[in-house]
Amino acid sequence: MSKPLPPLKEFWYFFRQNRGAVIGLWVIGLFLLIAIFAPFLAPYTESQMFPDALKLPPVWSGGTADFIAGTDDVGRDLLSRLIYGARISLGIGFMVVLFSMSIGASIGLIAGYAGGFIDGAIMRGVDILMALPSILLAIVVVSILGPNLFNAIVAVSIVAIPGFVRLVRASVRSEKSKQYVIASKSYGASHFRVLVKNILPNCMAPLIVQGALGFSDGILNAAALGFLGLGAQPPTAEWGTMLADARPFIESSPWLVTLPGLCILIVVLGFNLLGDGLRDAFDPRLKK
Amino acid sequence: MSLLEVENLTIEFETLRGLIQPVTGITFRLEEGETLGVVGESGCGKSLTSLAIMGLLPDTARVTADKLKFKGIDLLNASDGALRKLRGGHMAMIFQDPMTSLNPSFTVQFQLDEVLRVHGKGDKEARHKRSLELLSLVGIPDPISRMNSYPHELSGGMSQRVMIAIAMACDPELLIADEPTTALDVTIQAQILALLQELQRKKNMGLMLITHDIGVVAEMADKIQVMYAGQIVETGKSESVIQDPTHPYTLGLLASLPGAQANVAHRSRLKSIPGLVPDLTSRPKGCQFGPRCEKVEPECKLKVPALIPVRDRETRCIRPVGGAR
Repeated sequence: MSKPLPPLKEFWYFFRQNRGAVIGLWVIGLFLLIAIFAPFLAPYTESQMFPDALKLPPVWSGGTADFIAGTDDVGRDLLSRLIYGARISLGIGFMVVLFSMSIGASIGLIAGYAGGFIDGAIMRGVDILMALPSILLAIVVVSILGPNLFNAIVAVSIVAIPGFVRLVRASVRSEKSKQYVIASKSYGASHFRVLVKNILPNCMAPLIVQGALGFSDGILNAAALGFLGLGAQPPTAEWGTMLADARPFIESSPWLVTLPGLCILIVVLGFNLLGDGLRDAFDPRLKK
Repeated sequence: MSLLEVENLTIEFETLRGLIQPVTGITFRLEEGETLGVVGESGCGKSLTSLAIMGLLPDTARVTADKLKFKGIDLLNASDGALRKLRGGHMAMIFQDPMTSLNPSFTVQFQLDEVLRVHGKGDKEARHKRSLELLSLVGIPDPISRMNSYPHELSGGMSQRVMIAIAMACDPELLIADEPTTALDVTIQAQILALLQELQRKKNMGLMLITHDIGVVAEMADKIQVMYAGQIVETGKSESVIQDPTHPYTLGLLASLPGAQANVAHRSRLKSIPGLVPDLTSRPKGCQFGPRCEKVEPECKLKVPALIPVRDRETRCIRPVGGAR
């Protein structure tokens, strides 16, 4: 038998087999770079207006080279807004995953480990959350907290929590009866140590996958809130908000809705491909 | 004061089919530096007994005992914190399947270090030194490079050695070995048992060796305790139990050893005890071993026989093999 590969190398070997996942990774990497270097890449700032260039079409359909992706109804450069929008959308995705994963995983750990009444109470609460349509729930939360970007993130995070709770609880329940957990108790580890140091690392694989998929859900839901006017407020260059602003001009200036929509589509697709790839790479049953 | 005193230990579980008692009224003692062999088939309560001593049974188990004391400390009423200090610090356990007893996500070094850290044994450097020392103590070749191995890179025997190293980390006074060699192949079995025996002598530990292989304990144990259906059916000095069993079940276990009758008939079939361990939800009346016993009499079914002294030991049979004297 050959020497087993180090875990990271082994992971990369299996990840690379999935072409879609690698493409997803490239797409996300690209958007990440765009987001980070937005001020250097964007020709103008996100809110700079050009009153003599209203609703100019993109360069490939008769526009000028000054505004490659055209301008919107108040004369802002669409390309610059899309580039800055990448910052906001990826930021939203990151925050949503951070919030919902940390809170959801903690609750799931407690529910799975404690069992009994605590588990029942938590899971029934989660069931109630899941019974509500997610976008409706998010709308309720935002209308209570008030419409702005941060509250939209909070709302979308709350919507995403149940998925993490269920996932982590299920893994904890299967891990906690394993021999190594009993063994670590047998040498005197406290409940906290058993839970966080012994069980949690062994539940990471599904959690990472769900995290990657949660990224795309978060971006999508936040964009939906923005579209409904409950998320980021104009003039913030959030893709969903941009869609909403451009709605009246869907027939006269179709690029105003097409391009932000396309950006959302590509990023979400990228994260979904990545998530699927991670799931396959982590699943020992699919390994040969 | 004995190292471990167990008196009338009973373990109960509430199940859908009613209350079951996998362990009923176990009483025994273990002195310092002594080896106690616990023998019996699967499902006769050996492992549950050891988990009860360690306090590792799930919350659904009801453990009662007149006395469950380790070095005079009442284990049933000790606080969680006190128990945690005892576990790993003063009493340790190794398990049946070494491959699943190590945490798959961490290296050997991390897991050894963790025990030492939990019990506050020195700073990082001292713990590192101690970890290396422990690995050489359990006979792992090239401990420095093994420190960075993950459990899946170790063989079964190697994993069990690491488990023993973890158990020995704080020099426990009591080591419970729950079928430590069952999952290993025969050549490794002998090595692991020899290692346990050597460590036990060196550190003067009390060793509770649980196994279904009476041949294993025959060589190692000072005392043997044969369990059947959650009861002790025979207990006494190791040599006398092996050479002159008084309970039909012990006799059956010994007869089922390969080679036990080598001098009688060479090509005879390996003996086995007919039947199965009784279903705990519908225990037989009277002697628990009755339905499988060759010499069962009507009187056996009247009530569960008491543990009575026969010759130099105690046995739970009204018609002991070889007569009552």
